[in-house]
Amino acid sequence: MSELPVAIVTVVATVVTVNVAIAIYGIFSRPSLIKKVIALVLFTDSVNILAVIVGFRIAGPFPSPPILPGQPAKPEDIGVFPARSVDPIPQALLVTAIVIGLAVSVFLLGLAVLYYKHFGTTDTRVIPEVEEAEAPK
Amino acid sequence: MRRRDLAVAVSLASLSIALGAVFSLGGLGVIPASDLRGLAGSVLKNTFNPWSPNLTAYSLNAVAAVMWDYRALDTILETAVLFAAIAGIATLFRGIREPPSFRLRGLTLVVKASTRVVIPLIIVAGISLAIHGHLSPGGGFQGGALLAVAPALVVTVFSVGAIYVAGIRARTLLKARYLALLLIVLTSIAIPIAATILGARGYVLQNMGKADAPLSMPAWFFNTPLAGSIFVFNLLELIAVSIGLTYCLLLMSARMEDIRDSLAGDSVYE
Amino acid sequence: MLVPLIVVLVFSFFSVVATYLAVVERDLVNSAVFMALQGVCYALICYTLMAPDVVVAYIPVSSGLLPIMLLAVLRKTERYER
Repeated sequence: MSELPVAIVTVVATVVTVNVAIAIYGIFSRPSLIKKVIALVLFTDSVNILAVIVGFRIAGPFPSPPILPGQPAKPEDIGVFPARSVDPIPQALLVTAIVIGLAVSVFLLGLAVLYYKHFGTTDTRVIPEVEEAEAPK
Repeated sequence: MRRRDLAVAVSLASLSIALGAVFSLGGLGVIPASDLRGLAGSVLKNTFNPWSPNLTAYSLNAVAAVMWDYRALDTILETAVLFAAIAGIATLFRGIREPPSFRLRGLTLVVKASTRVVIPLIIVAGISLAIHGHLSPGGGFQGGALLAVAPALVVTVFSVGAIYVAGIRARTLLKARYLALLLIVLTSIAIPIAATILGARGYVLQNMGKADAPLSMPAWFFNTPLAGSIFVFNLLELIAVSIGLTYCLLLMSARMEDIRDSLAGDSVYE
Repeated sequence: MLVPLIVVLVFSFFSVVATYLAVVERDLVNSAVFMALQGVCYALICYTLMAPDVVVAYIPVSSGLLPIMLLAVLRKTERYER
């Protein structure tokens, strides 16, 4: 019965790889600054799911999340938890990664607003011409 | 959304699902591990272990214990990255004019009435996630992000003027966030300072007492495990993250004519 | 044990559809809505992979805060691409 977790993890890994490919295509091929920020957010989120797959494991009938359901009463009860639970360390690193992705996206959105105020457009094909026009001062 | 785009998207999705199903035929494919790594096994064994008091963190949530006790330096640096991003936004939007008090119309009456019911629920859920961070899934950043959705809803439904009419200015929000960050730094160096005064040893970011450093943060609250510095860090991170994200939201909701063009050289500091 | 497999299959299908439509769409408000839908699909996949802390951290960020900030930015800059 260990075929079912293997199937779940393989389907998720394939789908997330396809999403990474679509997001990278979106960053390079679309000319609007805000579309590039949206595609960067999609790319970051898809890579975070790959980190969740690293922490997954096959255990018993089914694995359990890394949270104790109740206080253990005897010292022998402590051994049940590591036998069934998934890895908690990638999940902690993942919360950090989500915060850093949010910080970068919010900063890029603020920068996009100021670019529009200064250059008058968010089209990256038009901005170099505007920059050249105001360069010699 | 044109029909051609939808057809291409559905066919791409079917192709990737079919590929995943083919890769996992016969039990092959991406095979996850069957036994834990050594470090993860040691963390899970010691996250709530009253019978080995030198290694435990008295927290039922292993992920919160890893974030704020075993690898607390990573989380402090992540708070520093969020701080740098908010400092960058504060620099970009400098010289912004905050309007005295105006009130726009907002959305319709039905949306306003249902939002008035939902917003107290969001606030209570966010605070409860942060307080229960060591007993159930949750924690400081999770509660702070959920608590910051409530001002975002107010700005969307009632217009930005509703927040300015209530007397909240962006600069006071930033000062409150600095206070919370200062308290986080003080909590992390509280035990070394107290131990130096009493003549014992203490480590920076220490949570429970170790073999050669006997001072520890409070670990029990009557009968419920209270994981010492994890609980304090969760509360302070809730305040810091929710105020920081509300500050970013307020700056980005300003009108275009109130924003000064700070990319145009030194014209701001006249 | 069959229910997690069906949940993962259905929601990863929807996540690819939402990602492609978010990248290809010209109207950027629709793009923000597709980004929120993709966040919900990913949160359900994370829940099936036994990571509840990641789910609780990811849902407010990707389906609440980022689309609202994106809508506020789109009001000030151009709404349609090209």
